Amino acid sequence: MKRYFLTYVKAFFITNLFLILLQAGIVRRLNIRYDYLPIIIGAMIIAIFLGLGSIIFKREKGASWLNLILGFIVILPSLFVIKFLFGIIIFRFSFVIYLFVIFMAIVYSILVFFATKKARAEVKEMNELLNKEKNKEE
Amino acid sequence: MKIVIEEIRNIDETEVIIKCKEIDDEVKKLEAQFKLMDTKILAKKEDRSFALIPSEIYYFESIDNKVFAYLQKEVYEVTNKLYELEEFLKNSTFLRVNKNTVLNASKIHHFKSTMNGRMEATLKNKEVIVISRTYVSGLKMMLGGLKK
Repeated sequence: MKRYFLTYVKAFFITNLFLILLQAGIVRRLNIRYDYLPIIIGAMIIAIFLGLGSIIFKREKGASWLNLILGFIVILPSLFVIKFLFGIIIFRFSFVIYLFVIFMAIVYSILVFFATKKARAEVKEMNELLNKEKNKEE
Repeated sequence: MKIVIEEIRNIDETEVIIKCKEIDDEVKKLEAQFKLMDTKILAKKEDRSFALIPSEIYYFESIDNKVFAYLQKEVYEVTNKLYELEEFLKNSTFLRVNKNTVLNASKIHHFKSTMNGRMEATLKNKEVIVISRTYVSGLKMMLGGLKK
């Protein structure tokens, strides 16, 4: 339970950071001010999707490629929350939603890349240790 | 390391004495290996009881409150709980690698990572066991990568 809560807190922090930056951009360019409450509720909902995506991605059961795809699919509904929060200010043109999907896919790919790279380095180290042990035994 | 085997006809039980300058990790490991040789795990299969030699066991897995011992090809049901086995086989080559598995590290062939950054251990009998992130440091310590 604690692990899930921590994942959610991390997701909430990242979401807040992203929404603050987005909001700051809108305020600066269009001088439109938002209520704080809807944004915070939106951040809480988006954090649920992000946290769930992270949990599915890290899942130890099931095929890893399936977890990878499901992890991305689960975070996609957060786009609708952003659309609901900012409405036509950001999503004036329909292609913007696709731009957001591409942006999310790029960020997700970068995170996957670093997670895989870290795991590969760890596996390499473990294999070296294992070989060292085997050589010692021989 | 110097190995001396002395043959004495009139003793009842084989005795192993380790002479060392100080008790370090290697000596502890050696002691654990000898203790493990003398240990038997009680298990059953098709209503028959067996005494399993730990060094032949690949891993223990807990499924639906039952614990199974996996050997190269055979599977036996063990009467002990997983945490009891973990405690019992402490200081040996056995360690917990995920919530349901206690693995014999000497049976690992190699490690590999998956697309989602998960670590897996392929055993000498080609079976694949998932290594949970929580237990990686313990495994690394056992393989000598981290100091206690």
